[in-house]
Amino acid sequence: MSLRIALALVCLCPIKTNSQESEGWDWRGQTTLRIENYGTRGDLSATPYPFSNTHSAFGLNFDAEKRKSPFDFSRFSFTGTQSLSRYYSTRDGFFPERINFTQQSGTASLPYQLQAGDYLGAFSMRTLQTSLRGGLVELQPQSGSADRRHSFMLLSGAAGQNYRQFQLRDNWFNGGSYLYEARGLGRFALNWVNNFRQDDAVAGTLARSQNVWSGAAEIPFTLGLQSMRFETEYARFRGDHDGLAGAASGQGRKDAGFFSELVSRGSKELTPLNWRVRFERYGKDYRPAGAVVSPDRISREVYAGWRFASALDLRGRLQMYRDGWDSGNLTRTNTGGLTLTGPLLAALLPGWTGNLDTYLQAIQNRITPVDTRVLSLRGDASRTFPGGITFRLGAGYLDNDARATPAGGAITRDVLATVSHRAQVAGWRGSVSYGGTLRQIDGGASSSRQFLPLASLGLAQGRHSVLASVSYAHLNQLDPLQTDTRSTITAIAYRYDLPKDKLGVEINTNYRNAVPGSYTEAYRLMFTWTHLFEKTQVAQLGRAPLGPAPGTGALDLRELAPGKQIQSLENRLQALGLRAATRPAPNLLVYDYRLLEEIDQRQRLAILTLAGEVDRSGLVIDFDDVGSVNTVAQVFERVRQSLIRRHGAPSSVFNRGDFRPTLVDDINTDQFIRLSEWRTAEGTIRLGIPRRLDRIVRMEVQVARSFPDPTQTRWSFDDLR
Amino acid sequence: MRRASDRLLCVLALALAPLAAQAQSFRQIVPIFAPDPQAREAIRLRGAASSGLKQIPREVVEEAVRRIYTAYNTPEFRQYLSERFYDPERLLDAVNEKVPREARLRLISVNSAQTVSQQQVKDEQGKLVSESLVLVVAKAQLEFTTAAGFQRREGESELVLRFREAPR
Repeated sequence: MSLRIALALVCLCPIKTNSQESEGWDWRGQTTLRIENYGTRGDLSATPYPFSNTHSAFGLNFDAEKRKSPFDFSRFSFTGTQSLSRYYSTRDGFFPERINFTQQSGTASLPYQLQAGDYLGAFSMRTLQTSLRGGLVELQPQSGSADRRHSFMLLSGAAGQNYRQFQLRDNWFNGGSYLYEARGLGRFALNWVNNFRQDDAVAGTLARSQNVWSGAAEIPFTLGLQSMRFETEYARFRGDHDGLAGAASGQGRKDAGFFSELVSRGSKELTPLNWRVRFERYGKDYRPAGAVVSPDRISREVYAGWRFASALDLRGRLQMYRDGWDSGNLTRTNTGGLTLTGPLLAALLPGWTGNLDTYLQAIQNRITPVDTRVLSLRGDASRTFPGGITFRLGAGYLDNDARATPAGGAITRDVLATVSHRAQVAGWRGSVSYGGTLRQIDGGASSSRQFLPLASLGLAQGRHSVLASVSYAHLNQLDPLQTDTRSTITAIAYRYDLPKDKLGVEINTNYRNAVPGSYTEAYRLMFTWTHLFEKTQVAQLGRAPLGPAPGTGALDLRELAPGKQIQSLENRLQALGLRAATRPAPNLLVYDYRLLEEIDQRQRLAILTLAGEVDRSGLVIDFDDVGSVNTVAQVFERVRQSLIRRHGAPSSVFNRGDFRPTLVDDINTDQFIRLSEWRTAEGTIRLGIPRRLDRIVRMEVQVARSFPDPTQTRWSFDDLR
Repeated sequence: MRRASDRLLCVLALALAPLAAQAQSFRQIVPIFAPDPQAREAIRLRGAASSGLKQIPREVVEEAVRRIYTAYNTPEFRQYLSERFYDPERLLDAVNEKVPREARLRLISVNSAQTVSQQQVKDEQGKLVSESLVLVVAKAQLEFTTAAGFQRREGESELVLRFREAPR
């Protein structure tokens, strides 16, 4: 086994070397090595890890693209795994998982796209929506107007198989689709899908050949203050399916499916309102192999929502399902529900946001028989207090009243509470949270009292990060003949991030004690190494020019790039008249300097040093008034435009959430993220509003070799307040 | 190992836009631009008539899958179901009523992740956003306790994750 792991490690190098020789292709990818060791003591039947000892896997992702012109490109992607792990596969070996080659041309007399390998076959929910392995061609004849488009798509491929046991005839799809889109008029589609499966005497399945045809339309229109959209599809099924009472009962069937939906979104005074009404009907023999709808069902649904000025969102639903309507085994399910999301009770409890969800459901079947009434109430709310302490409280009530089953009903009640706050230990910073859930289940076979406390910790320092969690579950069954269990689960994960490599170690332990019964101790120790590789980027359209950074006149951000000698940079800053640097931390230089002339807000240059060179640098820009959301949004956009004028369009943008009155809380709960990045020869320039433990809201423009993932929002200059 | 072929169409709402009713249930045209004035304008704005498909980083996809599986059988699960998921409320109601309350879904491995499409679409507020569809195959096991003792149900699922981020 160790030899194979060594071979997997060697694989890292040839991939990189060979790929660099290709001309005209841009490529990137990553390799991931996972080595895991598992062990269990005690009752083996209760372990979450059924396979002990060492298991390893080596994964490769590779993507390449070649662009002949702005209108023509070829693309290749590959994902595969060399596995010696029972947790990955029952067999050892190399497993190609996804392979795709795509070629698209807009300069051809008939613009086209070709795909071979793995792709998503998607015409409509009622005809085909599944991943396929085969080929696809799409033609888009030019209509002479950008307001009208045609698309012809033909595809052929198999679903639900892996490359090592590929049998096209085990689940073979062929299909065609025509789609016409006209601005203002809507979209119209015709779809056809054929599915074939060969018979299998061992599995007892018959050969299956089926065809489904459908016509679909979507028509937008306006009615008063409401923007409406009507969508409908009618589909016919003819052929074989797997049968309702034995395989033979599915041979030579035909049936129909129908879908329609009216959707409205309000405007002006009705802007907060949106609603939709949906009707669906599928016969018992409407069973296309590639569709995602449920056969033998009629659905009638109404949804409506209203967004209050306080950002409170109220949504309601009424649903009526009739399952088995066509086969004579009718189950009626009627549901009515209300959901309230946002700043709950804003007048009484300002700052608390959360979610209230309730529904009533009745399920009836006179044949089975079933007569169940369900009442579900659930609510939770959280608030962050000054000092960064966040409380979360929640409660739930579920009355599952199975009237047709003696003593079959149960009422579940639970409450939860958690506290989160920041933590700082020996230079490591992060957050810690702890709390728990109390649950009581009355009635039925699962009557019990449950106590489930948990705690977690996340800390980071530079390139190091640690996540740890511990949870305990005490499940006390009220029936003395049943088994009580106590379990403790711990997880500790450490990660070290380099620009091109990520190393990780993780240990998970599970301890479970059953009374009466035995105990089970199980663990997993995992080591991971991810290596990123890519072709050196060259200048691309829409990206910043990669010429040398200017050395005279006003300072340019690229002059602060990582790796620059501090001495020469200080000389440059002195030449600009900047002398009085402050040092909030030993390796941090700060200058008051208006680098972006057109921005009035206070700007400070920050330079993090490491061994006489710039490690990370940037510009810190304060907001004048964080309380005014509109002002914050406008100033941020002005800074962004200022950078776009200097460095061109951003290479990437990541936005989450909107500017709203709860901006400070949103930033500190990662509900609001604004990032724009420019990749230049000198490094990546990032503009954003990072999350800080002191809750200060400000913009930062940083230059670094690389940045953490966009969702890792704590990338601020921590020592500069 | 049992294979569960449940296809899950999820929104990882990176833009955290509220999930409104914008659920077209049949395909849309992703334009192939030809060299005409409209395409030249697109090049001026975006740098290429058809921007290259950028794979959503695997660690982002894995983190998304982990978050979705961790949220299973909790109230947070709802936020991950797309409006394009067929009958989302029915799934949520079924999980709420039928799955043991303490049951948890343990992610075993993410076997493959492939970004299959990217296009500019309008979100629920009418803003242009970049939308990526990622096919993911993941192995997981549901763990819970019954009168018969510890239970473990393994399965392999193909997920369709939809990532949205606001473009420049």
